[in-house]
Amino acid sequence: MTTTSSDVGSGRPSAGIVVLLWVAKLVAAGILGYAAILKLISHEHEIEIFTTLGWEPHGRFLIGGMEIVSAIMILVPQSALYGAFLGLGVMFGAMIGHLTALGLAGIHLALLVAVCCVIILYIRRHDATFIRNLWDR
Amino acid sequence: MSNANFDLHVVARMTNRLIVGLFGAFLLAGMYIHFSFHFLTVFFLMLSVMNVFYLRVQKKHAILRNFGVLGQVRYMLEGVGPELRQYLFSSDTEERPFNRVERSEVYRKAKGVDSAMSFGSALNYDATEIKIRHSMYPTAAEDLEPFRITVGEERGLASAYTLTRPVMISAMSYGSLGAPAIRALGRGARMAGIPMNTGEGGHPKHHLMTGADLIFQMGTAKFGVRDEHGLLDDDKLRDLAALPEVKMVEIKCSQGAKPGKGGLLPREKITREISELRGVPMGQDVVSPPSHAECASPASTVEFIQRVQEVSGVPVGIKFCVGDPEEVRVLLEEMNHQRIYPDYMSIDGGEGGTGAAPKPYLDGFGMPLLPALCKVQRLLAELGVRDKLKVFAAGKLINAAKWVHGLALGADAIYTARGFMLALGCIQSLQCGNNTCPVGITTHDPDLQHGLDIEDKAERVKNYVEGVTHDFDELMRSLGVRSTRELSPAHLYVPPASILAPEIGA
Ligand SMILES: Cc1cc2nc3c(=O)[nH]c(=O)nc-3n(C[C@H](O)[C@H](O)[C@H](O)COP(=O)(O)O)c2cc1C
Repeated sequence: MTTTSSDVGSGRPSAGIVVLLWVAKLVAAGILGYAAILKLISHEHEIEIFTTLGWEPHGRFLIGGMEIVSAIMILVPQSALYGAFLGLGVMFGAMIGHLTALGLAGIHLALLVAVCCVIILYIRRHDATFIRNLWDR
Repeated sequence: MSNANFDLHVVARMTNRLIVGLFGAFLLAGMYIHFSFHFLTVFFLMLSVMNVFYLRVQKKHAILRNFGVLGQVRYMLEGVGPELRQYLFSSDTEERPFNRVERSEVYRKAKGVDSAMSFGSALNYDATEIKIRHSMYPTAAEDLEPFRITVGEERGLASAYTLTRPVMISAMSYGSLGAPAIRALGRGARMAGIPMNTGEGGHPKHHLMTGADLIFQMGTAKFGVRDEHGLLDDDKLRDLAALPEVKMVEIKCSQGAKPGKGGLLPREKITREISELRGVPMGQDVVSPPSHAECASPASTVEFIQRVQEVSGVPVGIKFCVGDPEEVRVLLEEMNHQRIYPDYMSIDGGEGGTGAAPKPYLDGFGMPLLPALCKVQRLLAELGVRDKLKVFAAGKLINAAKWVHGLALGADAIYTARGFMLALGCIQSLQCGNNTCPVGITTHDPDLQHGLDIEDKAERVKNYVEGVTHDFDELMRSLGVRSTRELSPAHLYVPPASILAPEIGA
């Protein structure tokens, strides 16, 4: 844990990197959390979207659940890497939805979250446990 | 990752293409059949992204660069390998340092359940295992003399200490063990009526709370009894030895796990408590030298033994692992010359356990216990020192048969450290030095210590002692002897492939 959560694998991350990481985390978690709440409280716009996709209502709760989980995981330092991975997956799904069935309006938010997730993944890439196991031997 | 029959590189390349292909296929399926296929689309898209990272971006792991996500599988398997091997694939006699057969015997003794086995020995019975020669005329139960040796009787000490069981808890310091483990061991020792060695962890605060009889160990850094230069402070030793619980003092010259090697206590580990118990300042590293500064030659070593005997007033022993037996001879000759003898010598086998030691020392230094014991025994007899002192032995002597081996080769009593750790519930996960002991023995992490219930484990320590002692008494009767003093190497059958064969022929 001590040497692995840095920006380039050795030494402490610079202040700029830390700020970038936290901005990315807050943006990603904020948007994911907001979208999740809309889904979970059955906002009519979301019901409309998921009816179009043929996923009403179970798919809506499933996706909403995944979004809220990833938002929380992104905010907890120990799980940020995995939260960002999950968030990126959900956003890929959202983008596919926009590109194939829903139309492009609203895709920019998904793109923004995806970019934030990639930033988190990149900065935190040394936290991946299976790879780290190998190095810690 | 090597298999001559098919080229893994080709398989990996195909897999990596297949992942991208499946992404495309499920994308189409999601568009034209049902939107739910996009779950799989996303899954394979993520795999593809990981693959791009592994194959093109990262540079540290050659296998991931060449094989992509398939290479990751290798790391995942390697990561869980030790657990899989222990739980699924290791045979009962395969693990080191103690195999499952040996461990489960201790567990059963500690839990007080029957440890009989059926149908035959699980060990490599014919080739390497030392056997005990029974007699056609076993001893009747009432003829067996109770075990009893008195350390210090040779010097006629008023403080001579009598052991009534053949086993004692060998040195394990507070530091290497956490406080709950020490407490459980101490309580168990008191209930079983055996002494406990404090290890070189300094003032035995946690040991003293248990009321057990203690053997205070003085390591090369003399934690607990040192002056500001790291030399022996007579007053501190005198005060400590005056405590009623402290029955003996042991000068540790070396330890089987790391003979001839000192240690370093890093400043991060020196908490306020450690600093007080060990008598070292906070905020700087403390070095344990490889030997006692007072013991630079055979003559000064013997003089130091005498000084500790005089200051402490209790029986004093020395603990060492045999390297060159000739050095032992010279030391014994010096004892004869000065007419000063320690009250006991404790021989530690090179296989010796420890909390942490560098691998080359652990694996490759020091004579194994049984041959070392033979050598020392012979030297003692040859130089006429045998009846001046007692001999203790440590090194994987965790069951009754092993005790007989040790006693037959010349020991008067048995020390074990890891036997008692197993009795405490050690599962041999080999993490003693990492503060991550999963059963809460060698850790100071309160969350992990939570698992160790002191009452329950103290009971197990007592059961272990009583269970093995019971076995031992039975073996003594089958041997046809009445007391341990009658045991000799002739009671052992040593097969040609045994480590002892050069010392004692079959
Ligand atoms: C956790 C642990 C801590 C130990 N600490 C000490 C110590 O402080 N001083 C010492 O002389 N030996 C120490 N030892 C060595 C044991 O006292 C003993 O000599 C060795 O483990 C061999 O006995 P065994 O095979 O019965 O475990 C330690 C061993 C273990 C497993």
